[in-house]
Amino acid sequence: MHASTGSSARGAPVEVIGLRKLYGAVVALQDATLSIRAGEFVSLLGASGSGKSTLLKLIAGLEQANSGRILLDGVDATGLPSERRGIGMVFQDYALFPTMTVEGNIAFPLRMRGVRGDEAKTRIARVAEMVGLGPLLARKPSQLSGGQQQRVAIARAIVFDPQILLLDEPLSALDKNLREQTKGEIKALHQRLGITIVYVTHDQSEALAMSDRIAVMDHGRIVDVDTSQALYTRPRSSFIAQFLGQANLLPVTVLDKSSEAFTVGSAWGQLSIRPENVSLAPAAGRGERGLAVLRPEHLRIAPTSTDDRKLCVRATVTQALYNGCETLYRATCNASQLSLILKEVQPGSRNYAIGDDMQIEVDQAHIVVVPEPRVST
Amino acid sequence: MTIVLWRPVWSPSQILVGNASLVWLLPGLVATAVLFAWPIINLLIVSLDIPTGMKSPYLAVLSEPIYLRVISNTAVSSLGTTIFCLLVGYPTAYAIHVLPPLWRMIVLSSVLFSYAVGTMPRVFSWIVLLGDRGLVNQALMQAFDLGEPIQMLYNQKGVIIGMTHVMLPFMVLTLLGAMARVPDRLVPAARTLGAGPLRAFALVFLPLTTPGILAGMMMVFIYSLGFYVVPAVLGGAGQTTAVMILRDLTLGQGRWAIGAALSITMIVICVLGSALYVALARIGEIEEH
Repeated sequence: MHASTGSSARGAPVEVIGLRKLYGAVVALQDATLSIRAGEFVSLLGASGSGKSTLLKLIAGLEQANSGRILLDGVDATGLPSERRGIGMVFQDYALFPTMTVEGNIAFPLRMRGVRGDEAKTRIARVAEMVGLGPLLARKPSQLSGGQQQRVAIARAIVFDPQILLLDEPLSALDKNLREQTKGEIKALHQRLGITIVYVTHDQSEALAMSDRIAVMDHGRIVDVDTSQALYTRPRSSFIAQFLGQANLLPVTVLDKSSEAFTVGSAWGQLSIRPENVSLAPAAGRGERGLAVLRPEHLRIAPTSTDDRKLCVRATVTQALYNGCETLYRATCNASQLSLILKEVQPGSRNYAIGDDMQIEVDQAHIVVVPEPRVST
Repeated sequence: MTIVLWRPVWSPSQILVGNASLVWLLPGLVATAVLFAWPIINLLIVSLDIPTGMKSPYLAVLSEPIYLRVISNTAVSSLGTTIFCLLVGYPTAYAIHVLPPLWRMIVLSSVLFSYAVGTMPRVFSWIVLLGDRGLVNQALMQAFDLGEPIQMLYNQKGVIIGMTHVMLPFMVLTLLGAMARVPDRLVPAARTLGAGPLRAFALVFLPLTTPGILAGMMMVFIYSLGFYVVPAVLGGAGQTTAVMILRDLTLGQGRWAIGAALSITMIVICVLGSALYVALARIGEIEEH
């Protein structure tokens, strides 16, 4: 860990309590409550219009909430203007000042704080080195590539040692290879600085790869907050199951429940589900309906002669997409007419063509049961 | 690289693409040449083609106090108009820029409406307002118990007020165009970096609108040099402008040579103004890259 210059740039907690934001009659954000620990990397993940950018703007102080509170480092910052929150922010299009050089851009927050001369130079040089901008300081933003502009935006947002850094889809304007590389660099920066990062993205792979926790947002609400692994392996709603990764959803009905297992009935026969994998209402008993979530990687194409104890279903291939390291099959299950997605890692043992029958083995230990989505009116 | 204007046109599609589309410029070029360039060249010829023994009209223009006074008076009025247009126009344009869409439309239409009303009614309305017994003077006299009205018309003040009013829409529209090109997120970005609203405006927004400021100032200044009606109505006898004296010299007295020389002098001032603008704009451009 590098020695920090004087002011320590540790993270600060961010507390969002019941935030609500209206644009005219449109509810952009409702009842958003989120507790972010000091130094945590939290992603706000959602489609466009889900309210994730609105929440970020409220934390940054660029918009004022209609109700609710924001605590930064334990202090109520709800009505505080942006310039007094001391939060670093990287905008989606970087928002570099075109009339200033790279150095002028990075110096801007220091100028605003009365830091000039040698100290400013030292700090600019330090962050420029950190993000890899050394020789570009004299250039104008218009002379930089997208990736370089993004580094300037990050350098400018961290040069004044903020305790909280907000990133608004910072990778969306970069090409794929650069995006992969930058993901790693942002994560490394987080580890090095130890500051709290709130990262807005619509890209689940970015969120899964970088975050300590992900807040999944939909229609102005925070739907769920948890670690990447928990959200992916044990989704608590069909929305999360389908939003993060791919999911096959099989309608099930609870037949019996005990402390060891839930027994549910389905078109494929009885399934035995681990209780910790069931997120039905606590009162849910016999007859309660739900959806079994089966990830494509938990469906295995089985050899024709198979073990009777495992659950097997027969399906007909409707699509096969070869992808090098894996083959993605779509198949229609003969028993339930359910369209399945499954992945075969290490393809080559046998190629299935469209119309072929295959036998699919289901790994019941990974099946998760979520409530049926409520039909919104 | 040569631009071929007279290349035969082979097919309709060729008219619409590439250099062939320059054909469409032809009517405009011809009209400009015949109606604008040729008369100016004529003016130049008239101003230079002096019978031997007569002194050049340019010497007269540059030595006789009356012409110098008129030229400087015209320039001062134009400059004053330019400055006031900027001082009133920038806040107006900025207010329109930050208004929500519906209000922006309403205010913008009122600006455009005042433009559409035309110069004459607007100029005469100032007499109603600023005259010795006009609304403003009556109010001031009552409020401050003044013995006599403040002379606001028939001097340079009146001219500048009237010209500012006439030219304001040009300034506002030019500035609005420049403001619309400032990316939305720059001021918020400055705010997150610690700049208060004033510093964010002065350090980020204002510099990005300087091309519009320059363009608006140059347009107002050059346009104002040619004003006739406003100074004639609001300026009184002391506010003779270059155009007035030109009209008098040529149509009134038939002194074409000196009229031409004065015209050319004014054209040179316009060209110098434009050159200054281009130079400033280019400096801005170089800074940008």
